[in-house]
Amino acid sequence: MTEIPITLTEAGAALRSGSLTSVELTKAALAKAAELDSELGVYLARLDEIALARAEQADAELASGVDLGPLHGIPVGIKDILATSDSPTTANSLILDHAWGEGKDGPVVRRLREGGAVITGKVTTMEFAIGMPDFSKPFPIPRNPWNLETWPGGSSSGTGAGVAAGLFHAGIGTDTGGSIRIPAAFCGVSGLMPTYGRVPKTGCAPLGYSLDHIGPLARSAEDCGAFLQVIAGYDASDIYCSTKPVPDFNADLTGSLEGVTIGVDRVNHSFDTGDPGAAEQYEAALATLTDLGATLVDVTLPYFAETNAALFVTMLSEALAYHMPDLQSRWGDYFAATRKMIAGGVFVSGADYVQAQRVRRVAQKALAELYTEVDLIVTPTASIGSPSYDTLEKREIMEMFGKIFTGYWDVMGNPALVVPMGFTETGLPVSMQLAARPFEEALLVKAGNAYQQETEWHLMIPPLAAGTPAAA
Amino acid sequence: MTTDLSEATTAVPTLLAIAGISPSPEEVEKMSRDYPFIRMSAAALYTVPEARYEVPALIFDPVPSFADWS
Repeated sequence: MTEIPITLTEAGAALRSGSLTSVELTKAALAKAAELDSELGVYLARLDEIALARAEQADAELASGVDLGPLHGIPVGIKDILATSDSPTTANSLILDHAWGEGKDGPVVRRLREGGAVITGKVTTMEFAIGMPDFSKPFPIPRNPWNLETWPGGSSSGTGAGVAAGLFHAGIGTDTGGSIRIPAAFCGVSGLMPTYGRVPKTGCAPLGYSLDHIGPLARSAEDCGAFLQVIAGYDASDIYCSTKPVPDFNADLTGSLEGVTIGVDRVNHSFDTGDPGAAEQYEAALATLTDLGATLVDVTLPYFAETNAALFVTMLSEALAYHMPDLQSRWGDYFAATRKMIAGGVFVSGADYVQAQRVRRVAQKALAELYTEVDLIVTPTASIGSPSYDTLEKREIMEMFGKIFTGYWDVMGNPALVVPMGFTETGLPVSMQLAARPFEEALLVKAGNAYQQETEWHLMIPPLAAGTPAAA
Repeated sequence: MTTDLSEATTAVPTLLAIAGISPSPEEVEKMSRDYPFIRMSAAALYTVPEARYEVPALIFDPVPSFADWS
């Protein structure tokens, strides 16, 4: 019996040392899914046989000295808005035309396959990466492994819950207003939204063309860096994709933050209406950054309110353009929250949309100026833990998003990493967010890794999933 | 487009009808509650003086690529 490592980095080392096989690792992940998925609602489609066959192949490759990189032989989940050649793609929706992407892999999925990843299945998302679950529709309801009565966050709900509960070691998320970072925060795992354009997004059903990012959720910052290494880089199929070279994201994991200046914005990130215990955890996390050698200085994120306004105007407009024909003809097939939110785009004019893009430029300029004084900016990811489904129904969605601090970075395009920083008084995970200059993901991974060398929040397992099965 | 928030009950059904979208009356009522937030968000964008002569973050490439994704 071999203990299954929690992080993908450790699992990869075990595969290479010969103390563990990919088949053992994959069987353990599939066993966890068999045990827990009826409660967690992670999977839309499980690919057990395909995964085991790929794991066998990975074992043979590694045994013969073929090493395809950090995800070789590692079980990963794919958010079901990315097309995959060997299984249907639904976008968690009755609406998506299944012919779209049928039999095709986009560049990210293709890179995962070429990197030897063991794709265990397609996982739940909020419909088209927006809104809330609809209990009347024929799709699983994703639940938070830390408390099944609560939402795991969205829109990459299945990826967050699946990583937290050990159904796979890492997975793909997408982020338009926080959809990698919110479920990572609520599920107590790490999540990295890369710079806009760092990862090609063709083959992914769009939400907001100028806001969408694809990135990893995983246990640790180091895991996120390893995952990003596989999926980053130019692809001609995405006109928004950057040609910037891809560095080694995990090259500088020294455990020290000496010489790093971190801005702390307390003006726009209040805990006044947050959950009890969250503020204390944040202060402790800031103290740890100082202990690691960082210099913390107070800053104020420029145009914070205006940027969040630009997020709504931009996202609603871009989403409405994609969905308009289906909203007109198939209104009732959409989830209730999806259709209500996207239809809000009709209240926005074309001029409003263009004005939002002018404000983005103004805010980018001011933010770039701020980044001449600091290397990173830290905020809480949210002032709350995961809300219960009961309160979610009654809660005004705009009120809730006032307590979640992710959207600013989607509008700016800067990369942002979230890492667990403890728990609320009711035992729900809370999270710290670090944001860097464009294309400086490596500094984020360095900082997140340093923090995680000093803390163990990222290694916490939900009681529901405790007793991670040993390899048979 | 109106920014008079008291006109939501008129503006919302009108704009939805123009768009050819047909929510239930209950949904129209809920969307009428969201309308002020969305319009205030849009209106706030015009209060940024520095944006007065800024160009939008929109790029049109006259020599585009049309590579397929698989």
